[in-house]
Amino acid sequence: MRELHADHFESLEVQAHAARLGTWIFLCSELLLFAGLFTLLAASRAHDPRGFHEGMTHAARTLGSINTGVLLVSSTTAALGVQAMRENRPSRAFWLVLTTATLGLVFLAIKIAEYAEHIDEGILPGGHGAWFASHADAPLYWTLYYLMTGIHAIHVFVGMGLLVWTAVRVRARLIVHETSYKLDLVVLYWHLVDLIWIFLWPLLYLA
Amino acid sequence: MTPSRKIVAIGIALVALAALSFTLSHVSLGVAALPVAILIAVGKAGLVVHFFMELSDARASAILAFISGILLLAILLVLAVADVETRAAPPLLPANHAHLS
Repeated sequence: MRELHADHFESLEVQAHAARLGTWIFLCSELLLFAGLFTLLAASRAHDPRGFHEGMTHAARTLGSINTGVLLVSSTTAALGVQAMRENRPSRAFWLVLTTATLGLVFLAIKIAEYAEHIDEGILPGGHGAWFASHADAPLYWTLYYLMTGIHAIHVFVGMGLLVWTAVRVRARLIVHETSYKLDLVVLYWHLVDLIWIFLWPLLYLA
Repeated sequence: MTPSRKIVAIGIALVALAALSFTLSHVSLGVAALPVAILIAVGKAGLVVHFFMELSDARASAILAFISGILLLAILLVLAVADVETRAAPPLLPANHAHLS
């Protein structure tokens, strides 16, 4: 019978541990990327509270909030997918992971609608656009809004791709009950994408 | 409670906390608005990290990696905001240099 672990690992358990540790370290490097952006946001906000207030009162709060719900539900379906794989129910896991990816697509569609609405109003990064003629204080907020939500959206897109790829591998029995940790790794990344939005949402849309 | 039911319960709790944040954003909380919103976000993040990412079940090396990331993020945030908040007003330009600006 073919070994499920690579030759240079003593066992599947050791391989899974190495993969998990590597993923956590990767997630921390992602966290540090966003750390720089959150620091920029916090410092800019402390420096220019009026401009931020002006920008935030015009943000698409309802669409942003719907997107929060979509991502939170997607994290739940992702966790259910992992659990299904642990219970050796690959078909259920496949559909749950695919549902998670679909919710990612819904998130991106709403985000594009939100961007389209703002661009229509004349709100562009860097304080460009007609809207800023009557709202001269808000360019910094909107530049950070586009930068941070844009980088986050790229992460959602990458996460969706990984989820679909993993779902296909589950369907093709390339990921099985014994190697279910491979699904865990992709879902860990998806949870990080959710975690970042959990903080972006109140800071850019609510308070 | 089965693991799947527990996951669904956590999902419901997350959406409920998000709904609370959204509702509070329509209430005038003044200076407390931001700390309250962040506090709720920290609560949601805690649920995701503990129950969905299963950090508490991970080995010590993974926990150490995650805590290091959070610690570095906190140091960066606190020092950067403290710097901006405590800066003195910039001095006025000397008269003989004013024409350069």
